[in-house]
Amino acid sequence: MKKPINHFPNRPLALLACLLTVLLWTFPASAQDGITVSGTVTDAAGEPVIGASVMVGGTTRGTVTDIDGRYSISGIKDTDVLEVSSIGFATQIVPVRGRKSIDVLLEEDTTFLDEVVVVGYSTTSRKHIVSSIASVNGEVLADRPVANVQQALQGAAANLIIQTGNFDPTNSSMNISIRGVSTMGNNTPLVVIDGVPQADAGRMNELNPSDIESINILKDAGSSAIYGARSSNGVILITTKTGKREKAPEVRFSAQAGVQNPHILFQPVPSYMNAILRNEALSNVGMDPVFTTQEIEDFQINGESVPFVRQAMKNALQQNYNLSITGGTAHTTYLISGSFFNQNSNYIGPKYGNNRYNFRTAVTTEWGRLKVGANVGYTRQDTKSPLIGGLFFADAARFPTYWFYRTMDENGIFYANNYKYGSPGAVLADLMAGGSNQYDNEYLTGTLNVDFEIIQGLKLRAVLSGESRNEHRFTDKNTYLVGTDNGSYWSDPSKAVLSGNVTTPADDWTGRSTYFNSQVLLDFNRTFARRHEVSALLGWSQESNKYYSTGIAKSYLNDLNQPSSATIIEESSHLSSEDNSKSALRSFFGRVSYSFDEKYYIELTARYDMSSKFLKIRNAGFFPAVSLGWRASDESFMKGYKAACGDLKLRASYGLNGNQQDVGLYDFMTTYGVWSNAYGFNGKPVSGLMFTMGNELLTWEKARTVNVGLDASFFKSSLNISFDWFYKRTSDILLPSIVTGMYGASIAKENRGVMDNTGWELTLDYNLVHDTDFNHRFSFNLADSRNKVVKYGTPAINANDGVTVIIMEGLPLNSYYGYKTAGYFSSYEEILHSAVPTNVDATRLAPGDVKYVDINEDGVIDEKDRTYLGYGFPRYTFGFNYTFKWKGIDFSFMLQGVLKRMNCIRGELIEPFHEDYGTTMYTHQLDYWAPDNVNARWPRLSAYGSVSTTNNWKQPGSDIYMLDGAYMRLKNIQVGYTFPKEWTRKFYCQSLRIFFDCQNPLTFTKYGFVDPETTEFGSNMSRGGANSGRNYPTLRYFGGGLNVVF
Amino acid sequence: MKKIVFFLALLPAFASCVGLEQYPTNSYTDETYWNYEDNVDAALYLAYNQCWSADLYWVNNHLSDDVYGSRHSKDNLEVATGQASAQNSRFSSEWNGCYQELRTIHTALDNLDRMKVSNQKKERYEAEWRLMRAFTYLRLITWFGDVPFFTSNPTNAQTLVATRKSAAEIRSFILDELEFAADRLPKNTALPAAERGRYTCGTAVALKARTYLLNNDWAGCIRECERLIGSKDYGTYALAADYDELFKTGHYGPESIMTVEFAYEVGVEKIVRGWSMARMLPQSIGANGVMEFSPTQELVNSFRKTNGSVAGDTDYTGRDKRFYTTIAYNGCSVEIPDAINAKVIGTQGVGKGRYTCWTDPKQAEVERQSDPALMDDYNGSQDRTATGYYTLKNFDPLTTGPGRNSYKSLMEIRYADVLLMYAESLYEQNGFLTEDQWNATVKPLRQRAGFDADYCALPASGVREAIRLERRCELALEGRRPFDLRRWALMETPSLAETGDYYLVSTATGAPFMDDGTNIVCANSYAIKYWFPIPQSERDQNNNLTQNPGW
Repeated sequence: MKKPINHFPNRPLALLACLLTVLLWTFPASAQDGITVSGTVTDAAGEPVIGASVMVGGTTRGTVTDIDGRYSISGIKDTDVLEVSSIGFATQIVPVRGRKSIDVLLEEDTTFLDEVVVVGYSTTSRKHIVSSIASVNGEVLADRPVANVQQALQGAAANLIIQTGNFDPTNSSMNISIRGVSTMGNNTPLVVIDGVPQADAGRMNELNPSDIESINILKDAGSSAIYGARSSNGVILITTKTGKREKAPEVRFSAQAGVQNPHILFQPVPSYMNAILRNEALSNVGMDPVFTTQEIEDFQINGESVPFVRQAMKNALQQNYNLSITGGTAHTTYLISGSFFNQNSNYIGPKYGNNRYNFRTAVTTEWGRLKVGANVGYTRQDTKSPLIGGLFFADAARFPTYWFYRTMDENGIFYANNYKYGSPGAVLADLMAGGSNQYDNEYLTGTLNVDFEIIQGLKLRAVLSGESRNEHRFTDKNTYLVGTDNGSYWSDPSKAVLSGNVTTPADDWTGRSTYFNSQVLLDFNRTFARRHEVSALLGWSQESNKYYSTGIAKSYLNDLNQPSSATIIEESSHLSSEDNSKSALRSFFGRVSYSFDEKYYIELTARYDMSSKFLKIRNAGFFPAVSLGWRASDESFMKGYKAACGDLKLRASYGLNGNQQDVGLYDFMTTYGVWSNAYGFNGKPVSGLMFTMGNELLTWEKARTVNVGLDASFFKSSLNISFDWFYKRTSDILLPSIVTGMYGASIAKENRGVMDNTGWELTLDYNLVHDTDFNHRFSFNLADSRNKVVKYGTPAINANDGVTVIIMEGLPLNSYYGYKTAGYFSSYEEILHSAVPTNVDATRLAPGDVKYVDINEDGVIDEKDRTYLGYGFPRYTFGFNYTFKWKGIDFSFMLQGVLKRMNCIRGELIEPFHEDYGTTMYTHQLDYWAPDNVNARWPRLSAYGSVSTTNNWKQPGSDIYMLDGAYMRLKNIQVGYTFPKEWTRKFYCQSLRIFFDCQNPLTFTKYGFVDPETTEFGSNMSRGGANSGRNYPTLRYFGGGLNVVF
Repeated sequence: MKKIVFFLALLPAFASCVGLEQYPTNSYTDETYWNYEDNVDAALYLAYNQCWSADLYWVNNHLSDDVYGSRHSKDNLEVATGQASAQNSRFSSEWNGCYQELRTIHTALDNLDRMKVSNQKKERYEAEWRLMRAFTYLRLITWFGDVPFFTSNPTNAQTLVATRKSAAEIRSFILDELEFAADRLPKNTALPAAERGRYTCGTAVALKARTYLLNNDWAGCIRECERLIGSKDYGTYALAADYDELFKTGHYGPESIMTVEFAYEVGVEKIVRGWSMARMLPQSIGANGVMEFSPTQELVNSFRKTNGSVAGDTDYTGRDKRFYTTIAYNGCSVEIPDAINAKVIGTQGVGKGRYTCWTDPKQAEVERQSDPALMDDYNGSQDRTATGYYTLKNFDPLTTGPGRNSYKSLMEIRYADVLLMYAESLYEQNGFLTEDQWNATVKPLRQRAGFDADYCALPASGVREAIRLERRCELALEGRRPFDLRRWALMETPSLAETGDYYLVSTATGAPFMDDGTNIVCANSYAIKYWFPIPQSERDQNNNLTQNPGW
């Protein structure tokens, strides 16, 4: 039994409520003398405009139209004028002149300023916005051959930064952030789909991109604080499509299909050349060459095998089909849509890839002042991915192309290939025969809305939504035969040994989560005396999550995964009682906004969140924000400007947001568990206690953001420019606790970090309609953010494979850190007079070896000479979208890029013959130092283990590994043709369009051998390892499709 | 109508299903953990896990002249050679490890009332926790002197202002606690087989003897030793017949008083808790990686010929039997029986067999003609012995698996140690040993080591040196040497405790395998300070912590 909520838990909300009440009471309801005027408001298509405001000019009196578009208003004098307005339409001013019946035709106002913008728990027009909100129209997403929404959003909005770890369709890891890095924890924004906050940003990828009507991005505190404790990283509001009233059923079908081509950016040198280079590297450091001239000749005569990394990849089909039916009657609207998306993996092997099935239905109906709606979405995702390690690509990439290298013979026996040196490995065996992970996940979401208009302008709205997520994975690991390496050309198939997962395990894992969200909202919206626009919102929300998983793992199964007497159940098997959780969030929130004469705006928002993730006495947080706006162009002294240019609005906001993503469900309390094999008695294992110390002082991370912005329009609103500058300080960032050793335990987290993040963004929208035959539009965005660690404690240096990053106060979070190089030694004389690393014997260096900068000038290169080397997070990110239409032809393209970013790449793509398991050089490495090539990009060749290699390549985090990561990429280019209507009507078809498109066809970058778009960093600039540049390659898509409307 | 709508609108308020106060249901909380007897057991076993480790059992030897560590035992090497600062993590890991154990023990002791177990069980468990707490405080005061002292879990705020309590006061607490445990724990003879390795009343008494000994308190040590030697009130202890077997299969015999325990799971045939000799053994019997543990020539020289004479450096024949158990030398051979995972042993992966270890490079060169895989010889590289010797003590092929991982128990206190503590305390207290006292203590050890009868008898002079030599040989590589050297240095220079000065200043050498016939001079020039410093990180946070002399 739940206790009803019977009081406001804190003062600010009570104030909001009071304010709302006062506003209601001040509404003048007295009737006056005069005539009664009535009529119908319709739009250009003759359909009634519902909820249009009909006001008596110069007064606060007025009404709104009903569902038939009708209105009736009394006490009208002959001299009065009626002002009829509605969002999305140009306001009409109609003199009464004694008429009793006045029908009004509203023309759609497509100007930028009147576009509908979805904000937290409500909608408004762009004109009214005084905070920082970017909008992405659903059109940008439709017809793009992308696998998911996140991919489509890349470059779509300023400072919406989406990075990918790789392009593997079955294992892609994208990270998304708004305005860059502002916490050392998770920087992922909150995603809200149709008013329902989502547990993680990846959920947007479960949507069918064609179902999306719009995406609005709340960037500053003014717009996002209404989402309180989860809003500090910004909020992405996704709204799905609905039907339209009084519309005959419209059936839309679209199909697109194409080929994904893996674009491998590096190429091994020919094998004979590789042998020569290898010999050169050895003799450069006084070691004996390994390849004889006969061998080199043999390589040259017999030619090349296909590099394994290319053998592992193939072109893959991608296809997408959508069918939707929309329409509506006078009181009811509906939408039914279904889609199928299929993306095959580019890996060879047993049909890896993704399938996604979406189904959505949305219905609304009205009954007097009551409106009821339901929106149900279903997603099924099937994924099959190979069981290959994270180093698969690196392993496959490091082999030379000796003519005798091969993967597998006709009997299915795999070959290890390590002629002369390197680590053996049947590289493609796991991919082709090692087994797979197979997911089949189903997600069902449902939302029920009830709207009731209590009095004019005051609506009560209840939203009930739920989600059920069922995820299932089946993992099957297999064995295969690998020939025994015997040092000659071929490994020996007659002595093939069983390899792979010799215990032949398989496991099932099932996870189920349910989510429930209920919201009650009071929404008030009125204009008084024409000039005083007031809107207010008061809401209550409760969210609950439940989760559990079960898993069973068995080993020693046969090849049909059936058990036998040898089969055992693995310890990793678990019951739902071992893996489950519950969490809840209860919130009150509100917004009051007031504008005077559409010139001066003030808006206050606040949210009060109570979360089950914190100790009860401190589980609540209050997150307020204020926004101010001034439409300067409407001032009388700006008349000239308004006429010449257009609109000009200045705005500012300040507020407090929270972040609780990094807080575990029970981090505030000490929890106990048991681990096996803690100790033994008589040689037999016993289990031991484990405890995780909680921190009951845990609270939200808090961000305070100042945002100053400017919106201006030019050329009759054809060109709209928006500029924002922000400064954000995040405090109470969760970091590992600092406790004394004598405390005797570690505490996982405490609120102690502080970070600053500042930046700006510029957006240009241009839309020119010359006539119905020709129009073109573009949008351009450019943005920057810079972060700085303000409070952290002892600097944390984190080296992965020689690439070093540092968290240090005063530097950006996880900056590249290490030694600065100063080119290459040109003479022995220079070596003698230069500082060298302490682990290097200078007498064994030679010209062409790396020279380092002795930063502290103490005569040696040691740890004290390390310094800031650059930053791996994109700066000056931009996107450019261009669309052109002429008669039936349409053409569009999209550019996206980064103007400043450092990319530190390690491994054999940089260092030739890396660690001796890199056994080939690549064509891009040939510009190495030699006496006849002293201005080379890379140092002279040297063999692993030599002093030169230690000097040149083994100084952790030296800038020899740093590449300029700036780039510009043509993400998408599309050409379409819409057939003339006269022609298509013959086929009962309203519209028919065909198109051809291409993804990622062109990239402009300084170093072509790595994809500049991929990153090793997660959303908080943390990383699992250093970037080796050898990822699942960039995919280029070539395809086409058609859109039909019936 | 309105009412219905209103009801509909408010429906969500009642539809929520998860409250704002949540507790984990997939793990335990303070409230639930102690309700289960298994969990109480687990709390005890964690205390055992953290009480003492194979790691420290071995690593402490680095702080003596018995072994040479490689650069991969950097922290200990810095301590042993006087290069360490208070930031050296050897100090903080010792400190943190002790206080972690104290937190575990206090987590249990603070919750005694909550435990749903029988009073009898609770009493025994409490005695074990308090014994382990005493052992841990003994570690702390031995290395650090005065230390912050808690008898229940502190908050972090308390630790930020905690001050050091005098070692003398803590020592008397330790002795009281051990007496409490001695009164309540079962005797070794009363332990069922399944409980082998649990601490007994004999453990408590032996630890008391050690506590007195470490303080050079002879009377106290004699008193405690006599509770074990002359009486069966605290268990029945005796020397094992065969020294070699003692370090293979004899760890649960009557000589064992306190052990560190490991585990093997039958069924999956897997060592689930083990320790490794991968960086101690000769490579010919499966060691790999960087060699971190090479016995010194000085240790080798302390093992005499069976007639009592000092052997030549490379004269490895006819020595004290204990030598062959302890050290792998040039030409020694190791029998690998058919053992678990035996096939991973040996360079050929053939397992079962007899392997000879050639550490002299010149000889290895010759032997390699017939077996090219031989690779135990000293060559100056980090994966070979640094001294010409490897470690064999505690290597039991029958309990050793892949990676030289073993689940064999390691004896931290054994009866031979009690006999030697007793002999030394009697001698130091009285200035002599009687024939009877000698015959009851040192003589049986020498007899077991296979010495001629003459050498087993009480010597006419040099009894102190005889006892000390016996401690070195008998307890070699068992972690006692660093503490003995400290004690003896303090006896000679009582001001050491006040000055914290260096007490071990010498050089280590290896076997005479150099081309010119000289010994391999290892890089260790020992210079070990008497105290460990209070870790710098600790003092950075707590201004009340004073630093030890010498730092």
